[in-house]
Amino acid sequence: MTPDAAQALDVRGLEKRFGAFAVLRGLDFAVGRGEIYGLLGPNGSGKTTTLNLISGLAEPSAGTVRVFGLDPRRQAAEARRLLGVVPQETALYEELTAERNLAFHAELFGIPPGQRPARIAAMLELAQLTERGRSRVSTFSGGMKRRLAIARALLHDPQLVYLDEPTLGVDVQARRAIWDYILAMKAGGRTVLLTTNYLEEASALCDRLAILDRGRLVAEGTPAALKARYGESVVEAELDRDAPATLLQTLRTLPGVREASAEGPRLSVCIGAGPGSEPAPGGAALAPFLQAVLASGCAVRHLSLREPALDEVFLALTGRGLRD
Amino acid sequence: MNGLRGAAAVLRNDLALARAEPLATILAVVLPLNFLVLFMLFALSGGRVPAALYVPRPAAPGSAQMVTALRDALTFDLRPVPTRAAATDQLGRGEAVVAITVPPDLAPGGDGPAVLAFTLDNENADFADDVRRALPLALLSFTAQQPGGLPVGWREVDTYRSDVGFLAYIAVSLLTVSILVGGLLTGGRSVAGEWERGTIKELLLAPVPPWAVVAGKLGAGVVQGLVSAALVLGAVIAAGAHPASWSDLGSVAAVTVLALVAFLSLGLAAGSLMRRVNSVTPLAFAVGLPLFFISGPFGPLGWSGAAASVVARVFPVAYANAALQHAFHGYWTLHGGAALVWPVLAAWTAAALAASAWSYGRAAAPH
Repeated sequence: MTPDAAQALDVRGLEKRFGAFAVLRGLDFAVGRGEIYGLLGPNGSGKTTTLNLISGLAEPSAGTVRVFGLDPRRQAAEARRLLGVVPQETALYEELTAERNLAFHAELFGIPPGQRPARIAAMLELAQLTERGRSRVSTFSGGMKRRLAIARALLHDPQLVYLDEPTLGVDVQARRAIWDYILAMKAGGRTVLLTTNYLEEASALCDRLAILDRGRLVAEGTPAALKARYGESVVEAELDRDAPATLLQTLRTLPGVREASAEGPRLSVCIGAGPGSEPAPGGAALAPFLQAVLASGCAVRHLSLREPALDEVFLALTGRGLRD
Repeated sequence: MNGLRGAAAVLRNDLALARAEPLATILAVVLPLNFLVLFMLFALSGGRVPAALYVPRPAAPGSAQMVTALRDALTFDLRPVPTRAAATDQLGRGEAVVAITVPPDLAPGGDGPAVLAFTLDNENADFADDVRRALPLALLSFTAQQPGGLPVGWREVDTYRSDVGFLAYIAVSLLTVSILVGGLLTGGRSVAGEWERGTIKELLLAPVPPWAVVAGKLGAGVVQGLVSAALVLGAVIAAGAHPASWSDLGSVAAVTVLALVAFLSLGLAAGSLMRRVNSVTPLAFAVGLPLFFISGPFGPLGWSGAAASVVARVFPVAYANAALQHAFHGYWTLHGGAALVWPVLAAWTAAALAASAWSYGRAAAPH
C-alpha cells in the first residue's frame, strides 16, 4: 500500500483523560514524510500515551490522530501495516531464536512465505545479527536485543517507525549503531517518530522536536531554533584587572544580554532571546561585548563562548522538579 | 483471511514457545502419573461401598442380625430403601454399587438355606471386589452367631458382562486430569506470558483481529494437550492397563478435544484477566485439583458424598470424565447418560470459548 496523505502523522486537539486526570490536554503536531521527529518530556508528560493513541492501542477522549490519513482505530489493520513499532522494553520472545521472532512477525504481517527467508536474512544483516540468527534471544546483550527489535519493526517495510526510548540501557557502541539505523531509515524515505530522554540524541538525530510537559506541547521546532529561543549563550572573559562597575552597567544595556556579573577580573554575560525578541546566535553579541570592554579601558586575557545546550532548553521549559 | 493467517501464525509461535519451554506439557504428564501412585494408595486404603439395602416386611427374625453383620463388615455404607425397586433404582442412577435384599425367610427351621440376593454394579472392579470379599465374610459372621447355625447362601447378579479393572477405570481419570490441569495451565500461561514479557504489543499492533489470537492459542493448546494425553495413555498402557475397548477411539478423541477446548478457554480467560504467569499457575492447580477429586475419578459420581456430587455436577469436569469413561468402557457413570453429558459438555465448551474471546477482547481493546 502506498499512502498518499500529505503528512505522515497528523495529531489535532488530542486529549486523553483517565477519570478526572488529564494525561494529554489538546495536543497538536504534524510530522512530515521522511522527517525524524522527537517527542521529549519528563516522566509522566504523556509521551507513551501519545504513542499508544497513534498506534490505536488507546482511545482518545477528544481530538483526532491520522497516520498517513488513516484513523488508527477505525482503519486499524491498514494503519498498522504502515507502522513499525520498537517498544521501550523490546518485547521479544526470549525463549525463541532471533529468526523465529522475525518469522512470527512476518507471518502476522502477511509477508508472503516465498519472500520471508530473504526478508528475514536482510533484517538480520541490517541488525548485524546474521551469525546469531539461530541463537536464543535470551543469550543476547541489551544492545543486540534492541537491534533485533528494530529489525523486527522494519521487517514489514513500514512507512512510519516509532521508537520508544530506542537507546535506553545500551552501551555507547550500540547507541551509535542504533543512531546509524535511524538515520538510514530516514535516508530510505521512512518517517521516524522517537521518544528519548537523551537530549544529545534528540539533538543529533531529530529534524524537529516537540517538548511535552503535563500533557501539553510547550515548544516545537528544530533543535537549533529551540536552543536559540529558549537557551542562553554565555560569554566568559578574564580581564587584566577587576571589572569596573560602569562596564557591568554598559553590558546590561546591550541587546540580548540578560545578565552580566563579575567576580574580580572574571566577567560572565548571559545572552538569550528574551521575552518577545527574536532569537540570535550567541556569537552575534561578541562584537558589542568586546567594544564595551575595550571602551572601559580593560584588556581581555581570555575569552570563551558557550552555546546553549538542549538540556538547558528542556529544564527551562519543564522545570527542575523531579517527576515520577 | 487476515484472521486465519493470524491464527495460524499464533498457533505456530505458541508451539515453538512450548517446545522451548514445555513446562505445561511436562506438568500435564507428570501430574497424572503421580496421581496413578496416589490412586493406588487410595485403593489399598479403601473406602466404604454405597449399598442400597432392602429388608422385606414383615422382617424375618434374623433380619436385624443380618443388617448388623453387614454393618460390622466395615465395607458397606448401608442405605436402607423401602422397596426392591427403590434399590434397583439407586443402582441404575449410579448412587449405589450394590443392591442387597435380605432374605425374607431368614429364620431357624426354614426350608433349606436362605439366599441373600445382590445385584452388583461391576463397572469398577475395585469396588465390586470389595463387595465380593465382604459379603461372604458378613454371612459367615451372621451364621456363626445363630444358635445351631443357619445356612445362608448368596446369589450375585452383575450389571455388566465383565468387570472393568481398577487401572482401566483410573486410566480414564488420569486422562481427565491431564486435560483439565494441562488445559488450564497451557491456556492461562500462554496469554499471561504475552503480557508479562511485553510481547502482547506485538500481537496488539499486528493487523490481525483478537479472535485470531485466541483461535491460534487454542489450536496450539489442543496440539499440546493431545500430545500430553497420548503420553499419559501410553504410560498407563505400559503399566499394564488398557481401555476395555479400542473400538470407539473416535469418541475418545472427540471428548478429549471438546474438553481440552473448554479447559484451555477457561485458562485463556483467566490469563487475560490476571496477566501474570505466577498467578495463573497456582490457580490452575487450586481450582483444577479439587474439581478433579470431586468429579468421580475413583468411581461414578453418585458413589461419592451428596454435597460433593452436587457441586461436581455444576462444573464440566464431571461430564468430561463421564464422557471419557463411556468412550472407553461403554457405560455411563452419570445418571442421564448421553442425553445429559454431551449437551452439558458442549454448552460448557461454548460458554468457555465465549468467556475467553470476551476476556481477551476486553483486555486487548483500546482503553
